[in-house]
Amino acid sequence: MATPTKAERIESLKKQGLKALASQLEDLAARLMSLLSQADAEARRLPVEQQEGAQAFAQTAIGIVREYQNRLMQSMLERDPKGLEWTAGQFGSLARFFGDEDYRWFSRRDELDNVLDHLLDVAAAIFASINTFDPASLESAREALS
Amino acid sequence: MASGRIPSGPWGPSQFRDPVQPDRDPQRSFNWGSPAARQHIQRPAPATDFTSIWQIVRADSWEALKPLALTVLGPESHMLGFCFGVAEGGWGVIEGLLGFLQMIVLNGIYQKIHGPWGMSSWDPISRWESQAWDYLLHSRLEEAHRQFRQLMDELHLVVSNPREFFGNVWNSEVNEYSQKWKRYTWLLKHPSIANEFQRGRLEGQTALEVVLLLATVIDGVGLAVKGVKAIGDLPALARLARGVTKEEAEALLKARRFEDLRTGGGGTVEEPPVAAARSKPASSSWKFLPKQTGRIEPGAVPGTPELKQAMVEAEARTAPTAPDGSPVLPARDATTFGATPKLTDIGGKKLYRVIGRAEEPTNTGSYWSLDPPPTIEDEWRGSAAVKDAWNGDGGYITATAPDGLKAWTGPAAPQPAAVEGYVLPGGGNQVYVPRGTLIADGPPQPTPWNTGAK
Repeated sequence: MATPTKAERIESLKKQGLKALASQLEDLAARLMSLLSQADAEARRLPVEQQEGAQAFAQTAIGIVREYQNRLMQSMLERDPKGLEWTAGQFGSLARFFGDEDYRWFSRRDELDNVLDHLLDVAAAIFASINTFDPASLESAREALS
Repeated sequence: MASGRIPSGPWGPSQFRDPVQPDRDPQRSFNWGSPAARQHIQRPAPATDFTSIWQIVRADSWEALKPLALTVLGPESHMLGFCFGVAEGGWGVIEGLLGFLQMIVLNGIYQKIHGPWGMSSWDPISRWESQAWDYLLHSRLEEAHRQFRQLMDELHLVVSNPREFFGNVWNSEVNEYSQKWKRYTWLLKHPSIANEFQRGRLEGQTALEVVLLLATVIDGVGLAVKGVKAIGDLPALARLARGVTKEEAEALLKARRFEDLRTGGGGTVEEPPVAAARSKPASSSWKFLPKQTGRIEPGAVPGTPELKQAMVEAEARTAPTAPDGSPVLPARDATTFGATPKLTDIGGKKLYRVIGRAEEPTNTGSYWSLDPPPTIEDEWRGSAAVKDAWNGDGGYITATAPDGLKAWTGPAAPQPAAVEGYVLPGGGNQVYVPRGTLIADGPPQPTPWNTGAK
């Protein structure tokens, strides 16, 4: 059986509904954060010549993901589809950030990549499900979150 | 006199006085992310009615005019951008600015009514309505349009012949303003839906800049000081300039250079100690720039349905299969392209990579460009779609691709900006190679906009 394309995976995820997807995104963000914290700890034990770049990556990533996590939690609490769409878009942009960083030194990099890829799929499904330019889409998203 | 600074985006951050609750204290930082905060910001209504025009004519403050302008012109419109460009920094400084802004908004309505069908975002029903407005308010709209055209004619005259109008003032500011106005001219030649607001804002900024500079060369009775000619050729701009005191204009030009005003005064992020230590390149007298926060990134534009669709499509993009021996494009990185990337022979070409911290010359990153960094940060962040959170930037490296090297190339995908409602539109050429493929030609150099580098 052929591996589904990214577009097919996103379409399949969308069927789960917004609330379930947002909940998944929260879980995945928490797993990502946990891995990044471990990466930060590992970075401190690297040889000096590697340490600086590795720590800068881990600390920057932690700061970014923490901010998005907070916004996600807030959007969920307030059932705010615009906030949720914005947060999903921000999580989606992590593809570029991680794509340009070097974390080959991290012992759990494969796990980090798996979690990140899954997170990117879920974020893309949420982002595609809410059209902030369409009042009907916003209303439907608001209902789905309540 | 109050500076009356306003935010750099059409909905603006919360240091704006709230039009709904004008007595409410303005807040310092962007916080649109909070729905609780957002509820105090008046968003444009989905439709306009006839009374909107009268409300515009009768508006007694920028706070009152702003939501009306948003509603009738649309958040991505050129004329709204122009209003913001002028009001950013000019509000509270130029006497009679409200009337000037009203004129710009009315001109925007005139252009919507009289422009070609394709230019108007109004649907056919509201277009009939707009024709009714035109019937009732024709002379007022036409007068606004005439005044705006005159203003633009004068503005182009000044920008093309600055030395004629500014004499010694121009000589001392030549580098700063020549860069800004070069960008202004460039943007005017590259119109697109995505940057209409930005173009308008830049025009408005330029108009304000010209007015402030004119104010510094006009004496107490409104005549040009010795050595400056041709002020008489600029009646509309000179009228505005006479509404500013020379001291205020000089203080504003000196204290707050235009770019700071435009970006809304975002703060900087304190870097982690390690990153800070690394932010000084070895054997160099310059520093990378700190990461910014709390601002709309330079080059970001208000979101549109088209940009939203482009982002949805990018996130669903699948990496093309790489032929044997070619570099593999990871699935994740395929989503950073605004169109399906192509495998291209870049052998012998010079590549550029903007960085925010030093990289080992033999372990350079994956994302490069075939174009050198532009002169202004807006162009780079906007076209390369690089968020503040990723890259404080400030430096760049170059590399020369070895013969026969293949890379994935295509336009950069849009990315959501740091502030809700805004997007970094992307579209600039982007080159992907696996990390460490390219070896830097030499140490990093400061980007042109890293003005603290020297």
